Amino acid sequence: MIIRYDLTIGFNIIILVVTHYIPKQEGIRLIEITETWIDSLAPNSAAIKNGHDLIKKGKFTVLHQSEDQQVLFGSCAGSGKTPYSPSADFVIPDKPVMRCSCPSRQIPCKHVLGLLYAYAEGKSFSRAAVPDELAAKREKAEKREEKKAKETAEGNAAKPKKVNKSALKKKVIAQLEGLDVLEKLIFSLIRRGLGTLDAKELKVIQEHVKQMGSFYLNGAQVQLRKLHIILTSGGNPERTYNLAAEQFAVIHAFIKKGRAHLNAKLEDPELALDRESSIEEWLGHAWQLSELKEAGLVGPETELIQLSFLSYDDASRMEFVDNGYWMQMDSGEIHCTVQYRPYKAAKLMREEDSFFEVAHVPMLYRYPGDMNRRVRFESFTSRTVDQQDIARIREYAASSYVEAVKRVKNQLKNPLGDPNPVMMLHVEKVVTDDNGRIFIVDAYGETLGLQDLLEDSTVHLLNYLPEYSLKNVAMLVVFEHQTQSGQLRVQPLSIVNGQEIVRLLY
Amino acid sequence: MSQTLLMELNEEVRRLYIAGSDLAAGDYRLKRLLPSFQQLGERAPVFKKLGEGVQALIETDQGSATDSARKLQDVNLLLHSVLHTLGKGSAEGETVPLKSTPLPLPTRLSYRKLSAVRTALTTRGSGRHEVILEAFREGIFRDLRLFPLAVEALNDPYVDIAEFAMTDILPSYGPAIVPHLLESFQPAGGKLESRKLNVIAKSGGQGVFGVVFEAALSGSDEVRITAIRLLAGHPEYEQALLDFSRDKKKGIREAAYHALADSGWESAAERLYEAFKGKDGEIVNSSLSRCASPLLTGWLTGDFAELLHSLPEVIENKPKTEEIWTQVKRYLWALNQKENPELEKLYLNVLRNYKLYMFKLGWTFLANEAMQYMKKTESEEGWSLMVGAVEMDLKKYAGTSSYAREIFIKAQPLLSPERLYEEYAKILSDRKHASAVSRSANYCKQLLDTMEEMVVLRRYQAYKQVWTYEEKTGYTYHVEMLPQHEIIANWDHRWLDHVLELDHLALVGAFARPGHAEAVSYLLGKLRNSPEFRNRFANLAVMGLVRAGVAGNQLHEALVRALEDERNTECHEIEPFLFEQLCCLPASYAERIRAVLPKFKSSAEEQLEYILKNMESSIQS
Repeated sequence: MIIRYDLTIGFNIIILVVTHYIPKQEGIRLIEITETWIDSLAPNSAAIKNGHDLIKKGKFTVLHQSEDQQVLFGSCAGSGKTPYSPSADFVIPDKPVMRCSCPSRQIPCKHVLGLLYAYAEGKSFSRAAVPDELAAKREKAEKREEKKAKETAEGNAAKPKKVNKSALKKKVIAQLEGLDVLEKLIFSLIRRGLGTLDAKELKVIQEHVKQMGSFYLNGAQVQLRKLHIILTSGGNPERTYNLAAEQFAVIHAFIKKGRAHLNAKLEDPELALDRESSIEEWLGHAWQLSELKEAGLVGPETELIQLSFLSYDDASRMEFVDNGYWMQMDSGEIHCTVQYRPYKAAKLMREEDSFFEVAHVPMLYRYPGDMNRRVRFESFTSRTVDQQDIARIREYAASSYVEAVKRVKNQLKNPLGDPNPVMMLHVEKVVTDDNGRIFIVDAYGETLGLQDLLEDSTVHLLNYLPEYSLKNVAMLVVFEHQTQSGQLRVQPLSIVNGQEIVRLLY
Repeated sequence: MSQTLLMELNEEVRRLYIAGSDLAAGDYRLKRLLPSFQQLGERAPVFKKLGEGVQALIETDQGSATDSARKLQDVNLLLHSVLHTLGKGSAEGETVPLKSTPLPLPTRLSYRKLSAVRTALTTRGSGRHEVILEAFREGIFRDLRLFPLAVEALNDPYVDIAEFAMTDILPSYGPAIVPHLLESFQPAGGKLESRKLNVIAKSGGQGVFGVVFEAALSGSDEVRITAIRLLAGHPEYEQALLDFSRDKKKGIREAAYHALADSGWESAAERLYEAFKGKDGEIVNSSLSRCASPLLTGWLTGDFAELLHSLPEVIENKPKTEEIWTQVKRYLWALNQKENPELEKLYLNVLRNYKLYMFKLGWTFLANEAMQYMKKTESEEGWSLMVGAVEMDLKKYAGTSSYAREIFIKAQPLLSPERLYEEYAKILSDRKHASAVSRSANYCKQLLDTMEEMVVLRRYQAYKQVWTYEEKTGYTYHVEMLPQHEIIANWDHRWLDHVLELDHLALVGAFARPGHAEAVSYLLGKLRNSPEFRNRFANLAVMGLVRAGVAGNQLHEALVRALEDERNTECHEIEPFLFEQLCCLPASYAERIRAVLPKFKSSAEEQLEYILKNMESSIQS
């Protein structure tokens, strides 16, 4: 379940995208929700438990449903004197609006979750008129919707946002200046040499991390912080120096490409965003859906199946990252969904989860990039994965490793490209050599060595799989080139056998 | 060849990053590489470019400040790009198809479900045990991805987790995991392997005992000891176990004795008996008490009787009797909890000669063991001997410090309630006229403490917290009193007046009985004066009131008054007995309870909320 957040935190209103259609027949409960669906709305597992707790402890003193059956609302005792009023408004069935008067910044809060669980459990909800306060809010929301619909009808919706060009120009100039500062720092570090780096120098790096922020260079902040982490992580010095040399190359490429891009941008009277490469993101730009749309980076209705999921702590970004790898079913491309949860806001944000159904998205927004494009979608409906889907995923698997590796290397040689491309490969069989190392083999007899690259290991799981998951299957793998050993290695993430997707990671 | 060259350049570049790029000018090692690049550059433009970069680096003008760094960066960037296109991934040499041993486990759980358990299994820190237990209960371990971690958990530094993995998690996968455990099993390893072997033996059926035996022969000491113990009860390894019991290593012999004791074969009894007689007497002792073989018990009893029989001859010889005493103790340990007609005779004889054993020799352990045995037999002679023995004790120890302690405890179950009262009541009545620092005051305190220990049991124990979500089990301090019918049957009714007079709340609570108005008003007063639920007085008073048969409404009112008392704050968890009583309050008290709710914190608050919720649902239904 992917939820788009209304970024107006503080209002405690969220627009959720529901996968479950609500049947319109008379005679049955108008709102059909299941516990798993509610679970998927919860920002984290603690919220699930807390929601249930409220029911168990009898905190809900009132449970109501509106006369038109579209709204669930109630009263829930909280720590304060006055009870909270959670509500769930299903007036637009696939975009229910959840509100609560509690001060929690978690959306939806435990009170709303409890209300929904109570409903799903079959607790009785008596009919009552919607309270005035809630009615007023509903009316406002309705008007907003109407206005939006009207605008869409009139074709105004796509009206491009006005850009303040002189401000933008100032920003670009500041960014260029920032790149100069960054380059100066890097050169001074390199001239001095890493062997004699001391605490003072490390402090200077950290100060520059802060400085980059005021030059609007969030991307540079991340890269510099990464360098700082490498240099302070301790452990094997050989490894540290290798990683540092690699990171210096990345920063050098970033400065060069960033400077060229920004200079070109200054030349351009429109100051347009680069829609081809990922340089904008490197410089710290957060693409908005409207910008992606404007740049023509949006595709029509399509279906996606998640093949693998992982979540990790990216210390250089100071964020948790939730990554989903999805196959676009009409093209076979492997896309990537990315959710960043900054450390400071992690508690308040929903942690993404594995998704096991087919997501049907009305519009797919694609970020500029190479092999695994970052994608986003605003809403979707879902259905279960069937045999045909499985067969199609298998058909999309790359049959020749020579070709696949060529594509991968093409991306790897770009220092600003993702160093860990993900591909779906056809696996004729799995073999092992004298040293017990495991390889996959394609239809032409070419082999690729498997190795655990991510923090979570998966390779050894192959030992526990039945033959039908090891022969003639499709395997989702992540690549990595290890400079020191000169090896190109892959780690299996998922296997698609004749029946199902076997997730080795998450 | 070209890749080696690139790696060489990479080395040099890295060296310059470490030493500082200013040293690049005129660097002879770079110079040495240059011709090769120029040569290769004639065919491949990339090498040409790298060659040019290197040349520029060597020729850096020392004067211009940042030039060397920039040039080093340029070479490095290009070099890395090139290196990344040269990765090799294919196998070199022979390969054979991977032979997997399938485990029929699904992989359908989501990240959020798995990650918490994975974190618990792969990190260190507190709270992990709980997460793992919970996950096991929810069936989350039935996912292939957690299986390898469950095996790893056998090695967890937190013993409870390692043991839980061994006894519960891994066996739950059934025999399918045995091949995998066997594959990774290293007989030469330590604790992990020994635990692994335990799981193998438990889940693997008869088929794996070959491996267990092999491990018993050739594993590390730790593994051998586990393996030998696992062989217990398998007749085909009878001879092997007998052989192990003659091993050079003490630990191995001990494990073999252990396994033999558990097997209970005739040969085992013979071997254990032999060891007991020989130099392994010490290490075989714990195994002897494990062994249920009647044969062994018979032999040991015979020897024991003979030993005691030989006593009169040496009774005047102090060192000799000491030696016998040492042996007697070993027999007592070995025969603890065993039954045998000969043993009964032996103990009767001990009681007949109570004076000798208890007072002359001071073998209290033997005398007590004899009494313990007799209590189980219901032998009339045994009983009258015990009563006689206690009467002797009372005389012998009167006025000593053990009189009001050990002797009282010993006498209480044997003497009639009246006799016991008459023997001891004087201590309590003497107290009235004595000063607080006198010897008799001290004596009285000792007796009251002993009595309290006997009728009021206090301990931490597991307790189901019904008010919590999922009804968690927690540990709570429990106060329990002996059941009232036992007190009425086994304790003289006159004690109550004495303890009332001496203001001993716990004993008044325990001895309270219906129809004793003075006790009721005393207890009500106590509850009024110490209503704090955080202390352990209110609990005792309420227990006494219930025992005194106070009418329901009177009790309820007293309870709620205590709850409302302004001193009743800072209670974090209401004790189980009080909580039970509060749960019985009629719903009409709901308002008064809601009013005091803000005074209570954490668990106590939840408990009161639970009570309120129950009241509400009782109104609705």
